[in-house]
Amino acid sequence: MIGNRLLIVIGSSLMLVLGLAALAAPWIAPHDPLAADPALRLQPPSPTFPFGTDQIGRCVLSRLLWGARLSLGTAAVTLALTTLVGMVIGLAATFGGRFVDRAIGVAVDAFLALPGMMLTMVLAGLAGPSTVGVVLGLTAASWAWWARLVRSLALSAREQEYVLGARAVGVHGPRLLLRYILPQLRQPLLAAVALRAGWVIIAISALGFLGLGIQPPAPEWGAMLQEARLHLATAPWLMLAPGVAVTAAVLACNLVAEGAQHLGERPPRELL
Amino acid sequence: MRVLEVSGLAIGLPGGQAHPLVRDVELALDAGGAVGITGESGAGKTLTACALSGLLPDPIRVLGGRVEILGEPVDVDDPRAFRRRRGREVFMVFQSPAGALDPTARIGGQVAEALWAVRGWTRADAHRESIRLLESVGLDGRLSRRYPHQLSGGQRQRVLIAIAFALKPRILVADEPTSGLDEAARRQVLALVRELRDTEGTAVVLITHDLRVLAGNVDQLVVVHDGCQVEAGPTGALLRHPAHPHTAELVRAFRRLEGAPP
Amino acid sequence: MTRTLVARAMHLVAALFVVSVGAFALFALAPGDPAEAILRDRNEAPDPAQVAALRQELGLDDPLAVRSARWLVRACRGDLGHSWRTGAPALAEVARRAPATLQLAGCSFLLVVLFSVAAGVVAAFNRGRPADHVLRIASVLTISLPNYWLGLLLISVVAVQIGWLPVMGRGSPAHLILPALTLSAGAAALQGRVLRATLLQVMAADHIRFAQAKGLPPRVILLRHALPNALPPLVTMWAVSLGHLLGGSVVVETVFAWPGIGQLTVTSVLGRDIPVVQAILLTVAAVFMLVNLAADLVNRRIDPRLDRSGGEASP
Repeated sequence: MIGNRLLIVIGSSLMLVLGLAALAAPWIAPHDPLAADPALRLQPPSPTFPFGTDQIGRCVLSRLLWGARLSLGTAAVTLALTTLVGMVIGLAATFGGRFVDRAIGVAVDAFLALPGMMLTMVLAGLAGPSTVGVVLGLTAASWAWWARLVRSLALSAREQEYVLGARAVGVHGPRLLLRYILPQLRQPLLAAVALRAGWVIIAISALGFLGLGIQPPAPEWGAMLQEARLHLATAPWLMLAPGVAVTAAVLACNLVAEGAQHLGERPPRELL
Repeated sequence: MRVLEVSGLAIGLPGGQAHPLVRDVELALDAGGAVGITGESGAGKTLTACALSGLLPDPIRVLGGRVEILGEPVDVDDPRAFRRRRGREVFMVFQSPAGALDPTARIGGQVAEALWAVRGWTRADAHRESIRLLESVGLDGRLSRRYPHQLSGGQRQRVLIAIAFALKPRILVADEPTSGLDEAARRQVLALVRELRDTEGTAVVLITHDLRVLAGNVDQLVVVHDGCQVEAGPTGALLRHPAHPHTAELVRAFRRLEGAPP
Repeated sequence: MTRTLVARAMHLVAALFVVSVGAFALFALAPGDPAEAILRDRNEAPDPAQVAALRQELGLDDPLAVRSARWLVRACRGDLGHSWRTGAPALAEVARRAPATLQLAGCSFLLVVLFSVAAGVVAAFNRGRPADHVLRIASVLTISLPNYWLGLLLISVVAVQIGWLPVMGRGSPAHLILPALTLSAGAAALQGRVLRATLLQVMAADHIRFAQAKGLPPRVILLRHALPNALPPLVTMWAVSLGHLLGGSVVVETVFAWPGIGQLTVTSVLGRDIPVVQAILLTVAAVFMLVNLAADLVNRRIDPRLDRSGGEASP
């Protein structure tokens, strides 16, 4: 379909902007995100406070920028960890023999039977509300999805004709993995990362929203939204700012994923 | 009676008039007759076959020329012009029977469909007849309850022929109907096609690169090379005394395979 | 067919077993002393003697193997312990909240199917044209919206500013509208895309072309050949969606103060009411597996290739 490249470009640019903003937060944030001045509470956007102030007088824009560091950073770490764990387990299932495959399959089905957010919440909440808890909880909740993906990709990669040829000649073990299987996985896995990145960001902020994630006073976007709930009528900017931030980050990921998914598709046949 | 007339047929991508994929195809076919289209792989045989029933793969189109089916010209610019003529007038059997049959429908039902959905039979009569048709092509009637993946390649090809018998089309376009079949199956399929011609007067367009199949089965031969029709004529004469160098090459290559002196 | 069914059922039982083990592990590994927590919740200042007595009573000092075996046996009998907060049987707590979640899940599922089918069909039959592109952008946007934010937006716009619909809690059918819309939005957009892709893939298949070659009317092709091939992946997708909806949406129920299983999960996790958390995990997993098993059976009827014991011939 047309415009796929455009989607990828827009998505990546947006991600780049957000990432840069996150990295540059210490320098471009107008105020200290934790500096509270109750006298200035709930002020609408103004030149001093471009996004207004929250219920205890902190600058919303500064909190957003620092929050970007938190959310995007945590998301990146979580994605890296989850992909790694999922890959190891998925490959183990593919190459470890039937018993290992069955056993892992049972575990995967068990984890996938629970709604993602519920599992994440339970694990993160019980691990103790904290950044580490969030990362561990998310990893434990999403490894199954990755393991299943990697397994199915590796299985079809293993049955490719040129791989069958290599195996017939005697290539096996690490060499088979590194030179024949893994290269085939690279592109679909990257596309999957883009796809899941959005979900991870939403999950992190959802945990914060429920009070089970990164704890206040850290400027986590989801927590900020929870605080904004009480002031929906009086201070609508409080609710808009973090929401737009999360949506923007997730949109960036999803645009890239959507473009990547349909890249190289030819226009389909005339229907009937 | 003339059933198919093709002149100056050109096929290609829209806007690619200068470089058509297939050009200069000329065909004339009478009822009960058979013409073979042959040439090396990639010469354009399948595209020509698809054009005759309006099933060219998107975005390829007919760029020019005339196609007349049963004396009535078909608007080659309208991809839907063929819709009402397919099935009863022109029926195309694809190259790989594996993909042609619906994997979720029983064999008998797929044969019966041709009768009740295209030829207006009642469903009950159609199902009875479908079993008879399967048997007439050499398959066990009980296979009608089976699904395509439960049949062998040769059996699936014969199901397609059974569907052809059900439709009784005026023109049958068969694209490589015998590829991938063993000798016995190939003979059976060709015999069935012959029967269709003799009993129903169906005209046959047979696409194949296998000269063995053509000799004795088609009256005329069209040779296509690199998208262009290079020679056409009665089969026997053409094969014995090929005029165009490419045809000669084909015959030579074929003889070498057979072991006869070139 | 029965042999594969039995194998599948056993696989699911094994998975459920893993869930139970995991659920029990929560109990064993969660920080804090359960006996202390229970006593504290009953507003009794726990002194060591009382704690020790309760631990004895609950059998908390027995070896891990014994405790897990005991828990499993009780679980099979339907006894999943008692809530540490209310003292009521954990399973009963879940059952009490179930109707609310069922109601929301059912309503949302209907909305999801309706919107996704509409969007998917329109997009597929208009692919390449403006309608398709618009739907694509709209879908990506909708999927990117966090559902709790969507809920908050809907609340503030529809309820607070315009005052049309009730904001929170459960009561009249009007109370269902906002939560169901919020819950169904993302899933509907996502499933619409999948439906579109599936439809296009099916329509591009060789056997559809052959059906056209046969001269079958378009309606016959659509109903007899396109739909049965498109349904299995869709049925699976709907089963997963329904299964998860039945587990209760943690986030949406919190935003709208909907008294369902999702909200129960939040309060139980926050309050460290492990038995209830365990009960929730087990019931949600079991329901999910049942729904998927049902979908599996439906798919085997639709697509005979999935039923491997039907006797295959050699290729």
